[in-house]
Amino acid sequence: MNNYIEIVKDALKSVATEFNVKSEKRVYVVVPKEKIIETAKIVFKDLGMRFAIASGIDTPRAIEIMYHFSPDAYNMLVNISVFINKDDLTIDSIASVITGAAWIETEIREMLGVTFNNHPGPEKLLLGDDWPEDLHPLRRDNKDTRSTAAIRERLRRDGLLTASD
Amino acid sequence: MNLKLRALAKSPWVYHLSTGSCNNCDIEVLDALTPRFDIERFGCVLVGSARHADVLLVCGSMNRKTIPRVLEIYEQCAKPCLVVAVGGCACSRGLFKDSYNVGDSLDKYLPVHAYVPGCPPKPEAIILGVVKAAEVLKKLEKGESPELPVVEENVAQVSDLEKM
Repeated sequence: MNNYIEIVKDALKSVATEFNVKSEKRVYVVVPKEKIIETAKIVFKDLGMRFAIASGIDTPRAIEIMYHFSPDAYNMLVNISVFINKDDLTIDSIASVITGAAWIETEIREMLGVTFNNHPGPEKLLLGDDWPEDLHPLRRDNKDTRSTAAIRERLRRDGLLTASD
Repeated sequence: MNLKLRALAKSPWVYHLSTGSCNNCDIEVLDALTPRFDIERFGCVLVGSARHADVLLVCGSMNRKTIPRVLEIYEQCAKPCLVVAVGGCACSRGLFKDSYNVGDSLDKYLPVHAYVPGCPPKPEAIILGVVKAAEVLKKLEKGESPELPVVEENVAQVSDLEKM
């Protein structure tokens, strides 16, 4: 297991800025957002890891997207995170390397407002047809999305609230 | 008309519609259809298209995204079509009442003929819901006005049934 972590560290040394080994089952890597496609190619094609899911969170300094890869034979997770500054919320889509990543990127775009360059996939998966374009429910810095009640208040102001209670 | 309604009550064909549920109610509907609890002994068959359906088994709280799609599917059902709300979410949105992505409860959009509360309801309860909804048809055939299940705000009225 430690041998494999050394292999991963060696393969990612050209792109990773931080490499934390939390335990023998969990590895956390930070890469700059310009190198994400190169990282995806190394991890998916050369090392053969399975892409599990991606998760996004809104933090005070940036929006963090964490891609979770799983080398199943070694019983561990390799979590690769990128930090995207809020003044330029774009990142390359890894759907050109991993076809299965298109849907989760659509969900991240809908809920957090990150723009993915060259994104092939569906436009909307979670939110309704008449949802306002600038309302991203999982952002925490926006006054309108601070809480569920705030989102409902914003929908009521826009005249879109369908519930009568 | 009497013969058709009588035949309908003897063998209501069932269409399962999930409007954004957690899938627990969907699994219990599956249990009700398979041989252990066996709704097929009442003549019910699961159909693949809403156009062949006599009974709509609706699960899930209505998302904002699914509201226009559910209305379109209800228009495709050949009337008279009975609607059975399966599960707490379909009856009244359950614990998702204050969510931002959930609209009004199902009975504000469609006339509901039986409510099956539970989270999820047991398959026996789902069978009872379908049977009660079929009894509504029998009463219509006899010419009586059927007593709809009484809920807080009774939106589905007898006049809605006569329009079917």
